[in-house]
Amino acid sequence: MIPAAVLALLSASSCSLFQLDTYEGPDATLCGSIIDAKTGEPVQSDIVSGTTIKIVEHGYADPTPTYLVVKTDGSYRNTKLFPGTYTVQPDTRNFLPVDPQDVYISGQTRLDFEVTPYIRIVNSSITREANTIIATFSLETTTLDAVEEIALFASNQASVGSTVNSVSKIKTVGTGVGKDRVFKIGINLLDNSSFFKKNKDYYFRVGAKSSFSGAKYNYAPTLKMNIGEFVDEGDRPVVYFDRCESLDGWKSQGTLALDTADKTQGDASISTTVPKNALLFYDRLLEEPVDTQVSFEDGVLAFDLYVADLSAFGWGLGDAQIEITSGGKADVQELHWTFLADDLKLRQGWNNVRLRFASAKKTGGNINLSAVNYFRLYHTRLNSDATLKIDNIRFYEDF
Amino acid sequence: MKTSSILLAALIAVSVAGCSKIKMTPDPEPEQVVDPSPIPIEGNTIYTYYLSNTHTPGCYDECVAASTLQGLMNREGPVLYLHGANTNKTSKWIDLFSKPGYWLEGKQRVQITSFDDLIRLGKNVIKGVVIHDPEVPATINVATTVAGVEDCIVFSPAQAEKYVEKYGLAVLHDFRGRFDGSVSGSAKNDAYRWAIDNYLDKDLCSATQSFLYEDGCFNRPVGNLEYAYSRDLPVKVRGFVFDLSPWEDEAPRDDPSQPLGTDHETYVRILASYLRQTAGREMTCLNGFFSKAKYSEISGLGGLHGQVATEWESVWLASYYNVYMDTGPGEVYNMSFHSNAPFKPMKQGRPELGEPQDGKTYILFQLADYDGAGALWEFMFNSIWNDDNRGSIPVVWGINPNLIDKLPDIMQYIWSTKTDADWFGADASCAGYINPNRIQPQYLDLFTEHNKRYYELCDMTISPMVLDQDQPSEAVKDAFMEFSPDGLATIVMSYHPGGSWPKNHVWKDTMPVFCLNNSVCGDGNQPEKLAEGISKVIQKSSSPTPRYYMFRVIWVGPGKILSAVNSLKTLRPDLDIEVLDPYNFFHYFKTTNNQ
Repeated sequence: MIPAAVLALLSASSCSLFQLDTYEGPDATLCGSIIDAKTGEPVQSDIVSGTTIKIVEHGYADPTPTYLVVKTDGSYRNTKLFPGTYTVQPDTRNFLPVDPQDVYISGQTRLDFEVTPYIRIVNSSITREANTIIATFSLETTTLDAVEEIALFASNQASVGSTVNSVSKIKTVGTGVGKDRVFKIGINLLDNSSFFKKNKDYYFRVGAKSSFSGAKYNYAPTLKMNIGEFVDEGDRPVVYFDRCESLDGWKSQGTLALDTADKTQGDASISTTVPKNALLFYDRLLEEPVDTQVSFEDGVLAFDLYVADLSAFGWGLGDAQIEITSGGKADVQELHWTFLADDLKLRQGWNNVRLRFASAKKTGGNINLSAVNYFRLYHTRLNSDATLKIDNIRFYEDF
Repeated sequence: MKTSSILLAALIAVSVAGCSKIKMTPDPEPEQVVDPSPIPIEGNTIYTYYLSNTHTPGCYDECVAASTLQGLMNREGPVLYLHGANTNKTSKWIDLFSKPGYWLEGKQRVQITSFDDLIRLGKNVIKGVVIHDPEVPATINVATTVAGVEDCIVFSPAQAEKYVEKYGLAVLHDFRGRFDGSVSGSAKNDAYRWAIDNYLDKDLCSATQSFLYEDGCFNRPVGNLEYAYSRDLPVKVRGFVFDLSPWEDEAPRDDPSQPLGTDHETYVRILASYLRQTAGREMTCLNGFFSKAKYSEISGLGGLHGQVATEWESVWLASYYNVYMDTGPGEVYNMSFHSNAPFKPMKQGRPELGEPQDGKTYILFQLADYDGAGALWEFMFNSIWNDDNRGSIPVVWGINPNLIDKLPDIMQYIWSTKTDADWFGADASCAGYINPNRIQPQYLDLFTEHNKRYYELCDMTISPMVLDQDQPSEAVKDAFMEFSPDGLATIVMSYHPGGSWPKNHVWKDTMPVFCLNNSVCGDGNQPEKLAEGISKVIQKSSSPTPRYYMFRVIWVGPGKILSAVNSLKTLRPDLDIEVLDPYNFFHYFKTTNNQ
């Protein structure tokens, strides 16, 4: 029991410092949805760091705002509000600004916001091709601001998005986007096999973010998919530049040889041992150009490269490049990448080299990807004689 | 004992929690008592109002209503001054001009603290309300035109619902649903054509001040207030306001389904109406700039024409009708206020003239891009005019002289704070941005008189940046010789075929005609790069004859130019470089040329 004196003291304190709370409890509910004014569909959001609604209760000299979190599906609900008049306004958003409005909230008060999302993701589909989950979609922008980036997110939670995901693929766009432009973006299951387990269900969602100041991601609806079994990576559609089964057309400042014992594909690889004072490892001119059948945005040049001794290369010094061209020689309609160990993360032995076209530098005009006919690999600063082997030079698209 | 302590703590906690929810006023709040009576306007008083900027359509609408009201209230004198929510420039200008010796000295300021009170303040000058149609953004421009002619303010539908009945305002026009494209195939053009028929062609609008203002199509949804807060001036001067594409071959981005060329056709009707009204007696100022978002190329969204091409097409189109441009008013607050400042003809003086020396390389720098009101209104407050090195190297500032109409106080402030190294010439192209070669021959006398007036008021005799699609014709040079005898420099860009640059020469032994080099215009903030660019232009020479180069550099102060010249001297020890003021530069050139 509390001693009477203490109770008396407490009562006195309450009287002088606090009024007895005789108001109704926080039993009012404010709920609703964020609705696209054009389509009537809910505007989906990130549940973490996504859209919030700021509410400020009237009647306080220095009111503290409360922020309601909008859920992934665009709906929101708070059941613990005191009845009264509030100023309500969406705060952080993925849609155009909305003016504040004063709302009397009591009982069950529903307030939907008809808004214009910064970006609508239209004609969206998510499919699986070989081991890649590929999202195909177009964008409808409602402002003239550039689309900052597009993304495909994957998670084992239905609230998948930019802040809830285990795997994501994000591409920078950085320009305005016409409604007819079709985007493809993909996540390779094998590349992310530490997360994806065969025959399990996962959630995928396409997002796009406007460069409008403070804009949050806009989304297409979430797709739940059982990814099934992994398939042989060899099923990935590729176009070969050279399978490296013959020395025809190959040049080098070293000694070229077919190596039938050590290869990654087919019957042979091509080896060369280049003396210290030389620089050209491989030079290959095709008689008939190759149509890579890939886009610049998503195209990849891949090959397998054996390095006998990494210390032979003066890494970080001098000039060293991997080049492809459609001009029949170097520096004409060329894409090139730096051939340095740190950049390529090479290790001694066989390496799977993957070079995205989008990260290449250009020389001598734009490459014609439907008529690539030249490949070169050189290094100008060798510490000693060096031996390389190359195999399986190919192109494919990685979304 | 332990239990009692816990209970006590709990009781105190409950009491504190309860206290935090105690309200100061009960809900629902009582209805506010409205006082609709006008607020009397006191003499010698400036009323100020701070615009909100919540980046919403609502704040855009508030801004449009306030600025159109401001235009009405400032017709007879400086009464209402608007402050931007996110800029300190409005405060700085009014504070400056309230100092002793300036034109607002001694005036008291009263801050209006609510939009309701703002309406009450203007109630006696408001004859009615024009309601725009958010579905047809062009109606904001049409409503602004009508507001000027009929002494109205512009409301959105939401504002009308809130304030019309409350303050007993008359709705004179409600454009909701009024324009649907049934006439021209474009609701936007239907609105403008209705305004042409009923206001412009009936000579109800100003014949000398027209306004090319973004109509809010892209600005209103995001609460971007540019071209919203500057609507005071068109209302004050009863100007016609429009926003159309100058291109015939491409539909505008805000109205892609209109029949091709509809915007252009309406644009030409407007320009032709001005030419008819002025009848060769006056020229017309087109205030504003084309909407880049609507009428020119955007990365990723395409477009047939780039921004520079669209600017040049707009000027080329307007010049034929004796219409010149002031490109910057969309970014300026309170033009209706500033334009009430008293103005006296200004003097810039002249330097003592010398003579050229053999072996010298003479350079003139034009610090440029102050042809629009916006640039002038803004640039004092950054490092450009307040550059500590101003005065340490001679330059010619390119400033549009007819800005004395809109910003006479700021123009006089600039002139009064010049140093002996600051000189003023016109900017793009003379008294207004125009292509002189496009002026019809019968109007060249008008063109001459128009420029002579403004040049004399600003004490200018040099035109350092005449923009045109061809070198100046003989007739144009004759015209310039009347008001710009000390020099004409030109930039030629031939978007319409057949143009060419002139050779530097002296016209009729009087007026130097020179090519202005624009190749380094954007490099001013990197003095070493600027020096390298200049160095590439100046070829090596063993001839002792003095050589002359003139460079345009935008948006930098003299300090950067000084650094660039020092770098250039290091880079090119073969040159004996001297930077000249414009009068000596052209005088030296003339002397060398005549020899």
